[in-house]
Amino acid sequence: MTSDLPSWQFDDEFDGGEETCGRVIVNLYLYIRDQKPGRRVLVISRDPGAPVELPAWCRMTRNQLTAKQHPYYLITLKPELIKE
Amino acid sequence: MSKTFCVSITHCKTDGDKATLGFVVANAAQGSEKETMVFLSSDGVYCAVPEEMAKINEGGPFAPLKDLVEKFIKAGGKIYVCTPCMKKRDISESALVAGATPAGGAALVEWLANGSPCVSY
Repeated sequence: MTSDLPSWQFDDEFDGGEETCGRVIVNLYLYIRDQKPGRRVLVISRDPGAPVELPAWCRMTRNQLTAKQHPYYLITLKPELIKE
Repeated sequence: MSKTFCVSITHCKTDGDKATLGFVVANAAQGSEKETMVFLSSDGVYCAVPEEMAKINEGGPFAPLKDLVEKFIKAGGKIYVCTPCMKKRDISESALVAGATPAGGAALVEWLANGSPCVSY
């Protein structure tokens, strides 16, 4: 059962669909790699591994997992690279 | 934390499941901003031959091997293909998918000796 989307503010949305594991990760990577730091992306992933996978991905890539409520993940892109 | 990663794949025709899974993990690594090398050796060299990779499709939830290989290359991943393993199977450099490079053990050893983790399938 899919829960309701939390009332988060975001700039863009990426739906990983029913993909799992590396497919979600590489598709997300290709989607966000040209986007600017600081953008808030709503990631939707129904992959049952997502609660573990996406936090690990955020730690490795230094994107910020701002909020999570499976299957919804609010990711702030590269906050360390935001230019004042 | 290491910035590089290696996936060693030794199957294609002999075990499409392992070949597929190797490239799934390679995509996860490259997509996690690890500079990732797939090292294909033994039967795994066929993963870099378009007409052979096209035959591997494990079905859902896995994408066809061809899609996984193309996505990995698009994401910037490196594919090195064992030259003696190619030669043994009469595979020429021109038969390889664009983006795959013939290489030998030294390339693999250098990559790993610099501290890269490696997972094998």
